[in-house]
Amino acid sequence: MAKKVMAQIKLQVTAGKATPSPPIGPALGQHGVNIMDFCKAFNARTANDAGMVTPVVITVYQDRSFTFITKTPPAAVLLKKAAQIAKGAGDPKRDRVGKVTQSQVKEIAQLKMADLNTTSLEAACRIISGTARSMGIEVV
Amino acid sequence: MQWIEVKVTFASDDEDLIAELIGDLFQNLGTNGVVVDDPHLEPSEGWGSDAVARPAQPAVTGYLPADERLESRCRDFEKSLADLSAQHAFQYTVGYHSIDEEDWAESWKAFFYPEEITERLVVKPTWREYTAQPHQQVIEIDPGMAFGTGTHPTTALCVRLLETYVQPGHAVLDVGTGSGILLIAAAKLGAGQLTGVDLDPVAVGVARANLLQNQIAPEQFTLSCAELTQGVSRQFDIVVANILADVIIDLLDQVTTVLAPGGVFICSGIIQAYRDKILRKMALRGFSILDVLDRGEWVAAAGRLQ
Repeated sequence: MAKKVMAQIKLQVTAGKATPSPPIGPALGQHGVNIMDFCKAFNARTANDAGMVTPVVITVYQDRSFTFITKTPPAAVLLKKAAQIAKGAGDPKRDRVGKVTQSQVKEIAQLKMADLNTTSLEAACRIISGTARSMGIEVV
Repeated sequence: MQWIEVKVTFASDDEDLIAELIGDLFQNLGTNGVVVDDPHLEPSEGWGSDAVARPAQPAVTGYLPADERLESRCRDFEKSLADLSAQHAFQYTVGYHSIDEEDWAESWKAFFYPEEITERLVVKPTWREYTAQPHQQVIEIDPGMAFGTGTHPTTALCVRLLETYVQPGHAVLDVGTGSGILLIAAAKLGAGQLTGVDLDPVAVGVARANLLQNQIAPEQFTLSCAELTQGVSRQFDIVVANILADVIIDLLDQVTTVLAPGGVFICSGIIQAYRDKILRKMALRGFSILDVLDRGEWVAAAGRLQ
């Protein structure tokens, strides 16, 4: 018999750096999850990507035990890293804050394939390019 | 300290992209991360009857410390958010809510109560009261940052097997001792010399504190930070391991060297899918299976070394 789920919580937190402060503390504490157990397990599992913003979905069961899965970093984060900029444009229509190459877009698309709702690399590249443009990052 | 919860609720055809871009705005403010409300989450195991209400609308929530920079950060944030919404044509509302800093690391303790894990043994968190019946022994536990509150099925199954096989004076080795709960249970059941090993130095410290809290004399136990049976030189009447199946498979290759002839090996933390693999490996290593217990998806087994 599978355990029943009480809550699912989706967070974006920094890999390898989880602490009981917000957002993790208030988001998990209210469901009775042992926060230190989560932080310890999350930091252990994401140690290799330390510093990267990482989406994580935590499933809390009725007995307050939990499991979690991590996903690839958001495309916005990967694009900023590729373009070597700190933040997206205030007004992406006017401002161009940085550039990424087609091959960088392809790299990100390959990395994100598992989490995007597509099996075609071409479609994944289009999604990533769209995100880039919406942040004021030019694809060259 | 006070925190301001900033919750952006939005409506859009491309919820994933908008959530990501709003999360990025929070990231620009230097927050530690965000909570994403996703109305489409659907766990494969199915929702329980007492599941919390799912969010009705997608939202992204970040937390800012209520300090002197708060006002200017909120202003910057609202401006970038307005720009983003103009660019992507989505509707949104921003809600602010003030919350007090609590010790979130401790808040789960509110859900941890004394529990009778077997007929004779009760696990009691150190911060709770419990009046034991004459036939009951109480294990006091503060798991701190180590695993083992006693209420987890894998621990409870192990304790039941210890209750069956520990005889007065037995020497017991606990591999992956965590909070030390299994050594304490063994001591309550009359075991003699207790040895615990754990990979995690934090666990070793927590286990020591818990053993002392339960009036176990320092000369009765040895705790060390090591991998599996590394550094363990003597032989034991009982070896117990509540870890995970793949670790137990490795442990079975070395456990026979630390078990006395006729000694009993108790293992737990095994999900049903690995049950047969573990039992086969135990037989291969010369164990005759004495007991296999299960609760839900978890299995525990005991075998005697021939």
